[in-house]
Amino acid sequence: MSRWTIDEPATMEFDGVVALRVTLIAGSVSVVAGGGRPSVHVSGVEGPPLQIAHDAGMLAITHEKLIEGVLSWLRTQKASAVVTVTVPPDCPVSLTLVSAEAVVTGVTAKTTVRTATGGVTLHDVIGDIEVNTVGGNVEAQGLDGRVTFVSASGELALAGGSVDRLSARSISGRISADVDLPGDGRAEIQTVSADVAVRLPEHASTRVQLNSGTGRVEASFPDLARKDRAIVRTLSGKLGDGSANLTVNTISGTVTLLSRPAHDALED
Amino acid sequence: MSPVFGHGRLRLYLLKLLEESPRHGYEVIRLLQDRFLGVYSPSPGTIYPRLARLESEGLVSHEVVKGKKVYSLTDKGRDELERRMDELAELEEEITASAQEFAREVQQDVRQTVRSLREELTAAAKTMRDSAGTTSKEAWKENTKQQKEEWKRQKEHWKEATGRQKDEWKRQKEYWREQKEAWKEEWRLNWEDAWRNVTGSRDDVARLKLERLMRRFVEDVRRDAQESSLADTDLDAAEALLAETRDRLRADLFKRAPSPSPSDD
Repeated sequence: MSRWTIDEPATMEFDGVVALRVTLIAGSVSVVAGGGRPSVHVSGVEGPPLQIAHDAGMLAITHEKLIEGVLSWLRTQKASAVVTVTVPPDCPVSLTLVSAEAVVTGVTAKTTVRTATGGVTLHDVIGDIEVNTVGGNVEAQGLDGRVTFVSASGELALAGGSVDRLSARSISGRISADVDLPGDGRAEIQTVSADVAVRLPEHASTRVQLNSGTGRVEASFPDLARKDRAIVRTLSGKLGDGSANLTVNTISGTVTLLSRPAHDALED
Repeated sequence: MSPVFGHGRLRLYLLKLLEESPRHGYEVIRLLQDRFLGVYSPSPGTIYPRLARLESEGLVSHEVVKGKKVYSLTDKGRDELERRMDELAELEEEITASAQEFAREVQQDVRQTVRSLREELTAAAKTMRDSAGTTSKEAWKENTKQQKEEWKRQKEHWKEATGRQKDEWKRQKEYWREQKEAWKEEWRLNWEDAWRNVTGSRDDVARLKLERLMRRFVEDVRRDAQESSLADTDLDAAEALLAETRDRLRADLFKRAPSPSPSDD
């Protein structure tokens, strides 16, 4: 096992990295997966130095000596770092951040991001993707695979992705998704008060169930049947052969389902 | 995206890729994309003419394998690469530094896309709402009869569905209650464990446990206090008691043996 303590800008290269774990308070971490040699590039450290450990291919990065009640510690001290990590695409990535921002791109293994308030940007990430945030906004493009998103007030915006399974829950963070649900893909979206907007391809084959307690429910697919009852407003039905599944449940948010014309392809 | 190459550097990098092994044009393009993490994504229109030019200068040669041109470096090309070794090292360094730049660009790019998506969806939703009033009225008229029968048929089903919906919300409420607890737990308690796993020593663990004892103490006292009303004199008495406790902890425990705690805490 090798350990380094970094307190000034530095670049390090590693022979093999099979998993990455980063724990940061403030600043930012960017994970870029590609064909080059795995490396860590630290371009700024404030407060305690960064500790980097490389053990049997596991790369761990965190602030040094962060042991006492972290949240009380936060009020009195600064602990911030700007880190860029390059890893092979098949390297699982796990990030635990307080206010630090995260950028992840090109990873094809499992990606797990937890933040308190830090924003998360995902680009071309494939596989199991799990984001749990209290107040951070999540912006993603070109995702493919199984996406799980939980947030209190953070917004989720998914642009141009193709998901096998999308599970998104939020209390008040708006959810916007422009996705394909190929084959028997499933999307389940639940919010308490947040608005939900989903856009599917014009010729989607999806069973649709949109429910809102007190909010409006609108869809630009004419085949869906409307049922307004005392307790819930619903639009539901089958688009195409209904192989995929979309369910939206919200208590007071509005739900909008839009169709994307076929020529408006998802190329970016 | 920013130009990665200037001053004949693409040419240099092409020579380097062909020195590693003979390759066909498509492979060169793919390798460039890989190496530059998508920052630089050359089109065949950029690469093929350059390979052709390198060939006319005698730096590379090609043979046709299975209908594809496979390029390899000539001795003259190897000489040129040798001569420009320093420049190549510099270029490699820049490529590494460009990962950071790339991440920033990705962030901006995604942010831009997402922002325009949001605007687009919001605008489309508004248009739909505005036109919904008129169309649904017409549809209503047309379908009233059909609807009535449908309703009769589905009344039973709806009753059941309403029950299901109530259950659904009950479940959702339950879920958020649990999730709230989980967040609280995670961000207050388990957070320290996350750090301990990465950095912890035995001393750290002891401090962590002390932190926890103190937190539990505060919680217990707070709960006990809920039942009683507190006057100013009671508060003064409480303060005195707490101060006494602190003094005793200091005198009996912390001062007794100088703890080997790290000096930088």
